[in-house]
Amino acid sequence: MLLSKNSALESKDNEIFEVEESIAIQSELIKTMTTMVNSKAYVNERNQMVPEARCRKQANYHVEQNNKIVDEELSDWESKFFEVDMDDLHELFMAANYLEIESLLNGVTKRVGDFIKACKNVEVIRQTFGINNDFAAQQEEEIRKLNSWNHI
Amino acid sequence: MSFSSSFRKSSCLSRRSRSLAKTAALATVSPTVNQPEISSSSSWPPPSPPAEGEEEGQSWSTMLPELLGEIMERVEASEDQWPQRQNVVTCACVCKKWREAMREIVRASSPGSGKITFPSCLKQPGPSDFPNHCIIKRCKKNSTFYLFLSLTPSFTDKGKFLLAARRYRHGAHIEYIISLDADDLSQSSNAYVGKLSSDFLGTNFTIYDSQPPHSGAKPSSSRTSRRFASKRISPQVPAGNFEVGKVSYKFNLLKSRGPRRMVCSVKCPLPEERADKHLDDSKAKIAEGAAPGLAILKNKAPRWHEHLQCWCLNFHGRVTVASVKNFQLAATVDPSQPGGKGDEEKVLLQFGKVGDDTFTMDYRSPLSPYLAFAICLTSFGTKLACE
Repeated sequence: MLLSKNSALESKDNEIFEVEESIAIQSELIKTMTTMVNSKAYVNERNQMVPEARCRKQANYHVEQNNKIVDEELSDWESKFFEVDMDDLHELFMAANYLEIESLLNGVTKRVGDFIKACKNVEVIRQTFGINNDFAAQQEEEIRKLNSWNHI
Repeated sequence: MSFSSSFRKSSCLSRRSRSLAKTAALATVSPTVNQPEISSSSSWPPPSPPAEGEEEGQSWSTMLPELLGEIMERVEASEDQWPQRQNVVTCACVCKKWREAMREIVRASSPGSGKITFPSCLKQPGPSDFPNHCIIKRCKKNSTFYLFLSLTPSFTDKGKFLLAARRYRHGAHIEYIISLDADDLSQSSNAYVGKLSSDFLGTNFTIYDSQPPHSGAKPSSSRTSRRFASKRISPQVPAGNFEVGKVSYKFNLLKSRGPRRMVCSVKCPLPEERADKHLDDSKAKIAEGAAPGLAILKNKAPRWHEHLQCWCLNFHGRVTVASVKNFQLAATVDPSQPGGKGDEEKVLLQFGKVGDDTFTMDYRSPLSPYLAFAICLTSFGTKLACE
């Protein structure tokens, strides 16, 4: 492995992660920050801790695995990575969006899309995502009409 | 956490400039001070950190519309065709936020594609480049016709149900009631979308739409529309029927043994027009004075095939049984074309028999599936036959 500069990233709860720079800049946000503040050693940042750790892990793996393994193994690894509950998936999504990591965002949204497709009807989606039915009575009629037309 | 006050719509700023803005803001923050919003040279307010112990914004149900849009966009793009497109509609039925996000995504995706997603798409123009293929099934027993969007090239597969129409006689007057619900075909139904009425001989037909084709349109006052009390869904939408087209049949006088002649004049929807005013909330603006253009369509004259001793049209394999009902319509006046001139070689609607009670219907812009279906129904209704 080539020696490269490390970035130190501090998350909101003051935990410091040392990450290879090439991995850190997979996040568009961090990349921009390092460019602007010209401080490769120490960058201030606020974020949630858990997703931070996951992001780092994933980015790290990506770089290593790109060099070594075939696509099949990577996609297997990715499937396992995203096998988390809805709350964790939500955190991953918010972190990926905040840090602007394209590949992570793609992975999470695909996973969420798969969840939605697996829910065969509206009620199951509401339960899975913890969403309330907030349609007004007048709209309910239209939704019911839409639902009953929505078949093959 | 109140991200809601902090993020602007992602459509306004590219990802790169969002990063720049966030960076500029964060660079001025001291690590020890937990201030939610600090003004900076950037016009983008910095994202505020989640307050300790606060649960709001930490779940799917409180997700921002633009973030939800990221997910909806991917679902919509991957569920392009029916039956998978069901999932797109299901998302729009979950809650207000999901409905708005998904409708926005569908609205913006592939203009001119004529993709059918919501029932409102049935009154939007079809594809510009290639026709959509549909099947019409007739059930003689209950005088009902069913329109399906073909999902495979086979004529025996039905496909996605779109509309149903039932023929009713009122004295000398015949009507076809058109509905989104195959089991509920009455004008007072919530699923009623319009009707076709004809004179006794079936030489002149009028197509009506339950929704105004453009702002300021006035409903027709006909006997039948006053006879029932329609259930109003939204007070902004006037009840009644709006005339959107006329179809007439004539004997071909020049060639007295030839096929009948059809002329249609229809109010075609403009591409940006949103016909589904029911689901729009009161804040939505209706395009002022955007009267849809009138299109005039005539049937293409078949050629007499001396060897086969019959009239022939090239249906490109989509019609396989000879029938007086078969036709191809091209426009002489087409509002969607520059100067309004129709291309008389371009078939905008093709209809024909492929089985005892099975017919194909291929339509394209500027016709909507609803108008196309109504025009095809006239072919069943007219009693003019070849001599």
